[in-house]
Amino acid sequence: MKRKLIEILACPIDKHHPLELHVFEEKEEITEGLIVCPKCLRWYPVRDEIPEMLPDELRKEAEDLPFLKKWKANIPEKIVSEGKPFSLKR
Amino acid sequence: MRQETYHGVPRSKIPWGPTIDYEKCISCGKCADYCTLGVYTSEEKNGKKRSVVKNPNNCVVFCTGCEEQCPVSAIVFPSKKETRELIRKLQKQKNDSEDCLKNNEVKKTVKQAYGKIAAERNTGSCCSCGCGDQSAAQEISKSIGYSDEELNVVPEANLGLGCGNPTALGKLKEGDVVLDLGSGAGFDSFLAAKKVGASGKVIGVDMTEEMVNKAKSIAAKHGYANVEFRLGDIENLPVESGSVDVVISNCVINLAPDKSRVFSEAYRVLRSGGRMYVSDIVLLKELSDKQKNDSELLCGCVAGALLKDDYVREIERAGFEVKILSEDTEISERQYNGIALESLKLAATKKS
Repeated sequence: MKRKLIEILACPIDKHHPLELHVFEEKEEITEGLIVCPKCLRWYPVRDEIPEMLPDELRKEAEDLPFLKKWKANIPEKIVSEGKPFSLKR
Repeated sequence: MRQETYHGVPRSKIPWGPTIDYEKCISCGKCADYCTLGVYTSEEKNGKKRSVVKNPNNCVVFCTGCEEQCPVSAIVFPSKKETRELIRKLQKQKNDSEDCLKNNEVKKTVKQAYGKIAAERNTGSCCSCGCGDQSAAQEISKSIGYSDEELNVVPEANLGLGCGNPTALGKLKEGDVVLDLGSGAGFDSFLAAKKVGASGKVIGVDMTEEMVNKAKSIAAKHGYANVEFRLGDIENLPVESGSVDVVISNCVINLAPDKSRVFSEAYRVLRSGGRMYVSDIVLLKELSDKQKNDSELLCGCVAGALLKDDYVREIERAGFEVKILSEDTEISERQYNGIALESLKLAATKKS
C-alpha cells in the first residue's frame, strides 16, 4: 500500500476518517503495517502490501492475533490490550 | 404440556409467571389446585402449609387463571404490555441474528469459490459455464462488450468472470478516482487505470485474498502505479465518504447477500454528481426454491440475483438516479442454459 492511500481510507464499520497509519516495514510501498480507527479502536493489518479492511465477521482470529503479537512493540498499548475485533488481553 | 418456545422465542427468556405476596396470602391452596402445570408446589413453613412458585417457566404465557382464583389478590403477574414488548424485541433479535448468520454463510461460500478460481486457474470462467481456458475467457469477454484492444491490455487479469464492460459504459476522465467493487484479478481496474491516467487513481476492493494477491502481483508486473487493491467487503466499504468520482462493478453485486447495503455504501463514498456504472446479472423470472439454495448457482451469479425491477428499485432507494444503458438477454442462452435472466448495464448518478 502507498502512504497516500490512507487519505481515502475510512473504517468499514463506523466510516470514521481519517485513520491512523503505523508503518512497520516499507520498501517501495508499505509492506507491513497497521491501520487503526481511533474512534472504534478497530485495527486492520497491512500484510504483503495489502490493507486488509474486512468487517469483523470475515476476519480470522488465528491469523490476526499472531500479527498483533509480532508487532506488539510498535503498536499503541491501547490497541494491543483493547483493540477490536481481537486483542491480546486475556 | 410445557411450552419450549413462545412464538419462536425460548420460553426461558420470557419472564412470565406468578409471584405470591405472602403478606396477603391466606394459604388456601386454591392457586395450586387450579394450576395443572406444576407451577406451584406446597411447602411447610413454621408448621403452616403454603403455596410457593416452583416452576414459573411452566406457566402458560399470558395465562392469569390462578390470579382469578385467589380470594385475596395475593398473586401478581408482570405487566402484559411490557411482556409483549419484550417478546417482540426478542423476536426481532432472533430474526436479525438468523439473517446475519445466513448472510455470513453466503459470503463464506462465495469467498471460498472465488478463492479457488483465483488459485487454481490462471484463466477461468464463471462457475456456471464450466469453461476454463484463456481463449474461452477471451470469447466470453468479447461477447459481453470488450474490444480486442482492451482484451490485450492485461490478459492474465481477465478471468472471464464479468457480464459486461463497465469502464466502457461511461466516460472516465483523466484524474478521476475510481472504485471497483469486487475487483477480482483486476481486469476492469486496469482498464480504468489506463483511462484515468497518472493523475487519477483506481481502488479495487475484493473480499477474496487470492484475488487481491493476484491483482496486486499483476499490477506490479505491469507497473500500474495508480491502482491499489485492498481486501474489503463491498457491504462495508473501507473508503471515505464523498471521495470517489466513479464506482464501477462487473457482475459482483448479485453475489452480495445485502444488495441495498452495497448500493447505499456506493452512494456514500461517491461525491455528489458522482456516477456508478454497473453490469450485473438480473433475473427476468423468479427462481425455484431449489435453484435459490444451489451454491453452484449462487457462485455462478444466478441464485443471488434479484429480479430486474427489484434491482433497479434498490439502487433508486439508495438515492441514485438510474438510467438503463443496455440489456443483454442473449447471455442466458450463451452462458446460463436458458435460465430467465439477462445482463443489465446501467448508470446511476448521485444527484448533486
